[in-house]
Amino acid sequence: MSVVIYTLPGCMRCRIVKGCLHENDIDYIEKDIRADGRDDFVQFYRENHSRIIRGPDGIVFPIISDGEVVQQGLGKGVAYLKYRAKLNGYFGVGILHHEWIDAIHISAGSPDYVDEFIDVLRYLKTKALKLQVDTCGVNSGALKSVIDHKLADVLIMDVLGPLRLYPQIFGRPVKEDDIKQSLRLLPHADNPKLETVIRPVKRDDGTMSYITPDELAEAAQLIEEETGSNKWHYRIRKLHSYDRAHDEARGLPTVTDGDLLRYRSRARKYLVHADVERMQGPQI
Amino acid sequence: MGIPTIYPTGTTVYNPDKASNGYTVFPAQDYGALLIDMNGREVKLWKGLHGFPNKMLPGGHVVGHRGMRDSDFGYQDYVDLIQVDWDGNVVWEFNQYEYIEDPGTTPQWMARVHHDYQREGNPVGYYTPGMEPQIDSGNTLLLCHKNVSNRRISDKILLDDTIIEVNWDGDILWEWMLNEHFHELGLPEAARNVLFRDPNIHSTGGKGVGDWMHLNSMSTLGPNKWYEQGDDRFHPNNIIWSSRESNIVAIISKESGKIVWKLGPDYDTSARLRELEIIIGQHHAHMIPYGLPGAGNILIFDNGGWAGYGLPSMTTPFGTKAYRRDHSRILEIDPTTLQVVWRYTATEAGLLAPFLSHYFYSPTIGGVQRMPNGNTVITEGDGGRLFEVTKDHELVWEYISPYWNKKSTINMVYRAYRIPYEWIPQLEKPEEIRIQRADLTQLRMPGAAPAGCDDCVDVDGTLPYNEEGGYCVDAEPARVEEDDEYGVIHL
Repeated sequence: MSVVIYTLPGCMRCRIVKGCLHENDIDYIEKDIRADGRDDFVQFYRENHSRIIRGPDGIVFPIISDGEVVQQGLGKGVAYLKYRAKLNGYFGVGILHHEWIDAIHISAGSPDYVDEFIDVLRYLKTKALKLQVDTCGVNSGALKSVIDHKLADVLIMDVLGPLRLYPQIFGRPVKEDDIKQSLRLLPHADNPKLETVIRPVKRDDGTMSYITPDELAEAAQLIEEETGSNKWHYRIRKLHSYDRAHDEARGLPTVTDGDLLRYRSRARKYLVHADVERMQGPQI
Repeated sequence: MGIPTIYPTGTTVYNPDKASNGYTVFPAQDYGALLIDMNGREVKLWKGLHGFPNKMLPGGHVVGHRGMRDSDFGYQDYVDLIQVDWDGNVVWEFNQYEYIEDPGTTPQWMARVHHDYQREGNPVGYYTPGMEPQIDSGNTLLLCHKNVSNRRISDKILLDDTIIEVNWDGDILWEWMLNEHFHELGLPEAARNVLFRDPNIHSTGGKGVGDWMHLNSMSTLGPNKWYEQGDDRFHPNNIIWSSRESNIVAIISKESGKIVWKLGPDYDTSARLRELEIIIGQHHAHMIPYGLPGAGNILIFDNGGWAGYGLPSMTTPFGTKAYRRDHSRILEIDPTTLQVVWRYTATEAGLLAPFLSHYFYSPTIGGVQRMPNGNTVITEGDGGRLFEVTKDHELVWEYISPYWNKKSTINMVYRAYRIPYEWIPQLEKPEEIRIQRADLTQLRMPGAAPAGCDDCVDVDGTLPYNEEGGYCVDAEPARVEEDDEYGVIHL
């Protein structure tokens, strides 16, 4: 395999991916987009712009291409170089900076390759990186391994809604026990966070609408029952522009801050520390 | 209030012909929510009902709190807000703002409400013709606390002020947090530096929290002429609040949350503000509601005392509580021109300023209420003195609270409200008995000798006493330069 890697000067993540190329004896051509590689990247971007994600702070580097496959970012790059397509879904393009790596999606990966997934996380940890790992509860086996090996510096479980709505929101059938098992694992994690995004759901009649406050309350009840605690700092938030479900909400009314407070009121029946995400300032 | 050792309590002055007669409710120290008539008769006590403040609703309902959070862990956090009927039954309550688990206490929901709240139907919480607060429905605005971390303000944990709106079912419909509007406050760099280092830290919970702004009143504007004239800053739903610690009074947009009108923290940027002079540690800033004399103007109990962040000096080595004054003022201000329309100070009380200005002084609490006949009911709270003056500043009612706290150290009254008789249908209208102002030159305690000397001699050559003057301090106010019509300051 011969690879082209597009890099930025002084980019720590680019250096790590280049190191991974060396370790796997993969030949590569580096194109520094701030120097001689600029024109080549412009051409490359023109041809592949639909496959390159532009985040809230711009395009994330490095980007590697073997002629067919384009992988963007550190996690996706390392996973691909070590295990090719096996780990598709586990890694996305994140938005965090410095030593933090996010967009590590347990539930989007295959349960058949948990060992390989764990190997990549361990590799990233050897580079003194901090990992923010997320799950919606699907693939509890991978979650257990992450927790057992203490690989997540931050673990976020996005409870999609009540169990009965999981298939519609997740996009494919799920095993309810899988979700419940993930919830039961949370108390064993070092720094778990729980949240629910007010996202659209395709209803049985084909219409789209946001999950309702009562449905959120069902999710909160599920959390309380499975974890055995009503003390979770449970965050309720709107969709962000970088959330995958953001496009599905087009045409629906915007969720307001006042709407979020109504969701919070319902959730607090089961989770007393439920709160809304504040967009303007931090809370404790 | 400058007070001697012995003085009467209860009603001390009452002119039924000029007073706005009715009942008065106030939180009596270590006693409860107390309703008195004009002669000071205690006509109803809701025993143990805390009031921060107590307010009455039509039909003989009263609003208050079951109690305050243990001060080891919270600062002025009242656990709930409850509405109680004449017979003491709780007909509405709210506490589900934050679930609190203080060490050694039973975990519980708390409202963390403090200083003020408003029930839908009336913007300010006191009698206004045609704007009665709802008693069996409607939303309630509450001024509450929430601990936050915001390093743009300070590296300490902040006791932030929040305003929430809850419906009759207790659902929170709207939430506003002050720390998110720090950049709109207009605090100068010196103040921001002081605030960062010491955001008014109070020791609670073994850690300390910074009561950085200390909001102490909050009300909606209600319908007003300014908005009807097209000034959107004064939308009836907008909210006016007072910040004791920063000397700021501000109006926020209910819709956007942003500050749309502000008085302070600087009071020297125009001739009008210099003429107004700095407002310090103020309380109960609110817009006089439609239907009352002075409607649309802002009433403020300008406490004086000590407040504000500023430059260090010999009286404030670290720049905290940087501004000080030893007397209080009641100000009624046109919010569009900042002109003082009406005022009540020691001078209007007939006391010689500045020598006796401190006779009207409540440095830490106070309240003010405009009445339909143009009178103003004032809570000079630190001394437990409630009184009423006419527009011409004549004292027509005065009452001194006889209720001291357990240590007998203070009889303070946070805020009192005058209630119309018709709001209390359970009672017959009481007898109104005039109380003449006592002649202090003749008032004596049992055993004390009367005034007057039987053995007088003339001294040859003595001059008559001057009517006034010869004092050690110049009583003339400082001259204020006028700005010209284009806002240029004459230097």
